[in-house]
Amino acid sequence: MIDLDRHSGLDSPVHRLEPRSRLLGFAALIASFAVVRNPVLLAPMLGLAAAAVVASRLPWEFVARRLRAPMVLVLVLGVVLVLASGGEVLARLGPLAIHADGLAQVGVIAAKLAAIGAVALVLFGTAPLPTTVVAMRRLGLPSLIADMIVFSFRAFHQIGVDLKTMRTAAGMRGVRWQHRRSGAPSRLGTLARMVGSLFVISHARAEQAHRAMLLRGYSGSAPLGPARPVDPASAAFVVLSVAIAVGLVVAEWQLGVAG
Amino acid sequence: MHIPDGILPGGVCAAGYLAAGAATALSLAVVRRQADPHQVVPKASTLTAVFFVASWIHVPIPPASVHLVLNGLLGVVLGPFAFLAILVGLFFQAVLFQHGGLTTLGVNATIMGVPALVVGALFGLGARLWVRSSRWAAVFGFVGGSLATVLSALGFAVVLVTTVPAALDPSLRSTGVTALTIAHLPLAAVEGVFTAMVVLFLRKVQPDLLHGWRR
Repeated sequence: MIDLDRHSGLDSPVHRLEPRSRLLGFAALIASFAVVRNPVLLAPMLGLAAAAVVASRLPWEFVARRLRAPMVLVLVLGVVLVLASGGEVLARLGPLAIHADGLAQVGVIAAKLAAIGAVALVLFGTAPLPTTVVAMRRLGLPSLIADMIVFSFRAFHQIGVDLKTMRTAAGMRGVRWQHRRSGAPSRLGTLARMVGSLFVISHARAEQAHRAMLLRGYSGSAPLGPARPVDPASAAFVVLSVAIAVGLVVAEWQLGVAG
Repeated sequence: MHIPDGILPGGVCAAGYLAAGAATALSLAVVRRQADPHQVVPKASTLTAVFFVASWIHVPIPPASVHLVLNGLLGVVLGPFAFLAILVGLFFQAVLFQHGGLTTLGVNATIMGVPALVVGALFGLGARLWVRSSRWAAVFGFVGGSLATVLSALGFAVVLVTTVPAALDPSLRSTGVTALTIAHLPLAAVEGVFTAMVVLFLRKVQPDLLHGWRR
């Protein structure tokens, strides 16, 4: 699941966008989707998200698989909203009442989650993560945070391997991870020592890496290199995205006033 | 304790980003007061990665299992860097695993990061006690781990129950906040014990990794 940018090598109009423009345009769309609450705007919002996925040529299966887990969470919340919100009762199931307001709210939430999630996947799935982070830094993200994102991303794989090795070693010494009915406190102690060891090992590795970086000329923040110029297509994308985002927000406001 | 995209109104998401921005500015100001803040970046980044990986470990609480939050532990280890580490960790969880969300990143970071800063400050203040005695180290570790979880659960419940756009009855909202907070108490106890165990381990093996350690 960590290989989010596995499709970053594809060729599509979205892939060809200048990174800062891609970030600005999709961020504007995501922000406007967060504001939408009126059911009338759900179809255009979902249409825009679908258009972004189609334009990016990301496989639909990839998008659907990644949105499955958050959708399950929303469905759990949806059950509570449908049963506990007030307003008109659509049907009764014994002591439980299904409320129209709750059902409508669940629809809005699920549509917003799908649209925001799909556009976020297009944003981060069409370029290597370090490229997007450099674009964020050029747009004002503090270098300290940008460096933390890049260094952490590089460390994930090794720490994951370390953790797997420790779990295997503990398993060979008799720790039964899958057995849930007994031995929980002792396994908690084993886990605590494993996490403590991960901190110690990873810190030692970070110190070594930092010394190596200093030898190579690192002076506090990773060099950015020359910025790619913004081409006309990228500029047009930003203008169009921001216009659509503003349009959605204005439409939401006007529909709210009219309603 | 991660609120996904789509659930909160846009205004709440914006307020979350404002709060997270203020906490980030505060953390950066404190961190930059150090002699060479960038020297700490590789350590903080690696520990952020450990936090991210370790938070996916499931701890058995018969008959089920839970995954740890670890924001208290991060406060204990990283001090003022804890908020930045949680912000980065939550960004990765949202982007790589769709756990949480991009529009709710500010809210989630505030809910989980501010308690970590509180715990970091408490742990730093109590350094003289826990450096001398392993009993005090365990006490501070337990209080730090459980307090951060309780504060985060309270923030999560208040935000979720009071801002979800549905016509929930006010008494039901209040019951919801209480129920969600109480439901997290077993996790808070486990987090407290776990954090105390890690603190005791680090105190013995490499105490300079703990925030507030003085030789």
